[in-house]
Amino acid sequence: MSSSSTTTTTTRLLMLKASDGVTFEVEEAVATKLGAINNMVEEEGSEDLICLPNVNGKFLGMVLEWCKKHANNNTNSDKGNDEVNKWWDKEFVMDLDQNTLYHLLMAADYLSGTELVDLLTEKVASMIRGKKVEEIRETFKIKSDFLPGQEEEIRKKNSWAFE
Amino acid sequence: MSKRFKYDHHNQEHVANQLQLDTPELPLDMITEILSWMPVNSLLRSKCVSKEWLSLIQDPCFVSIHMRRATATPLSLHDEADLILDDDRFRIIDSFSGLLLKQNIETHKYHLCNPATRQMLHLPDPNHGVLCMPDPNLGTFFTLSAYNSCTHECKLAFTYYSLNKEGVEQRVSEILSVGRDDRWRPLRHQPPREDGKVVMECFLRSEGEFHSVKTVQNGQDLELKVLSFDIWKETFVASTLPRGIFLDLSETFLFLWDSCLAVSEITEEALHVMVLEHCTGGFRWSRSKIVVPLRFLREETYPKEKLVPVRGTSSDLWFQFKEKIEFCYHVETGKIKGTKPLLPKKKKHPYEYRPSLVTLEGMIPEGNH
Repeated sequence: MSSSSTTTTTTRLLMLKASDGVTFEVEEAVATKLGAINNMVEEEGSEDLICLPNVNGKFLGMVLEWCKKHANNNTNSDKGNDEVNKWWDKEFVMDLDQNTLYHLLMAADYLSGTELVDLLTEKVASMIRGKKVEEIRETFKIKSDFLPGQEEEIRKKNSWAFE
Repeated sequence: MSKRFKYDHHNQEHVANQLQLDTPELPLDMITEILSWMPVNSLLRSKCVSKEWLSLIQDPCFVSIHMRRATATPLSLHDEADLILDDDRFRIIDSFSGLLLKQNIETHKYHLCNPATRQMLHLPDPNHGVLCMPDPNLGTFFTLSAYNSCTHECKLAFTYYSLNKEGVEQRVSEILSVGRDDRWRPLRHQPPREDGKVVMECFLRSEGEFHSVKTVQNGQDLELKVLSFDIWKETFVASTLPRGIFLDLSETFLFLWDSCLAVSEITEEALHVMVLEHCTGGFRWSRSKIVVPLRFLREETYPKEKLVPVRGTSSDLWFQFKEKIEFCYHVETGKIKGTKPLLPKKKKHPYEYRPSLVTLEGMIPEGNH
């Protein structure tokens, strides 16, 4: 997935190389939506190839797709960017399974994509907020470490929240 | 440095996990981010997941992050769908940090309650006077409530008029440190006397501060006088806007800019602002006017005659237009970001309610009183 070459000649292109060797050619304005890349560009300046050994190509591609959409939305229209972005964000996370979601989240966090981390964590929250304690433990692979009786005591304090 | 709430950094280790395509185990700082989007009842339930989750959900930093992310709802006074106000035995006086200050209409007792956690706290009766919701067109009487999420301090303060021994009306203020004081304390520091004929008055509140703003006729001139009360320091500071800054004081607008009082006027396609900044002694006016160009005024969508600035942050300004819509102006790019219709005034309670996990010492489950 490479970025389409757009009209302006001043746009600088960056090469991003994922852990599995897959490379992406991306406009600087798109890639710098990610805090980590923005820092690298500012610090190293001339470097056009950026290696990202901690992100797999599949997820880097998805992260960049999100960046591209947001960068385009913000330059193309004057009004209603928020609405367009919100609508598009909703589509973006709608059908993600848990595995993809977690991998994307780790990638977005590593690349300091603050807005994307917010979007993904909010999505995970919406998936677990109605769940029972046992189901949440299962989702996050957590084992209860309470002593016998301790959990019962916490439940009793807010028994209405468990109904 | 990013401002995100980081609990612990195990990133390196987890980034390594990510290389395999099994579902990765999320580090605690990501769990924190996820939980900060959850509603209060889910969080109360999630306390049972593990010891780590229990201490995370009770952490004061987490509580304040969660509160910032919770959706604020305007308190609408006679809205039947609003469960918070379902109970008509109570009169709501104030709403802050997810807490409601209420008075029982039958017993006249005051309570602080957290509707989201269903907890409440009985308050002692004031020595004199009655706590009321402040009148937006009257800057003299105030009611102010504040909660400091770092120190867990919660304070309430209010003013009333009483007659002194000579039968002269005087203004008195009382304050209560919730959980620390057994009874309300009269405020030792009283506001200085004011001279001149008041032409207009109103007030603005920000976290822990109350600004009473009066336009006073002084001979031929109008003056803008501000009396600011800081609930944490328990002091009043009086300040007068330097003369000649604005053409016509009656054409200025007040709003909160990054929780500071701002006086402004719109002239020549720009917003001119004077800010009452925080300083060590209390408050002081900004050295000079801040001029924010309003690029959208060049177009005719929102003519300045019907435009009112309502609040601002370091990057954004919110305006109301014709009292019908509200929009956000991004100062740096000069673009309008989002517009939304406004609720009709009659239906709106002046305060918002934002659900939170805030618990005060001594709170008991509601229904046990």
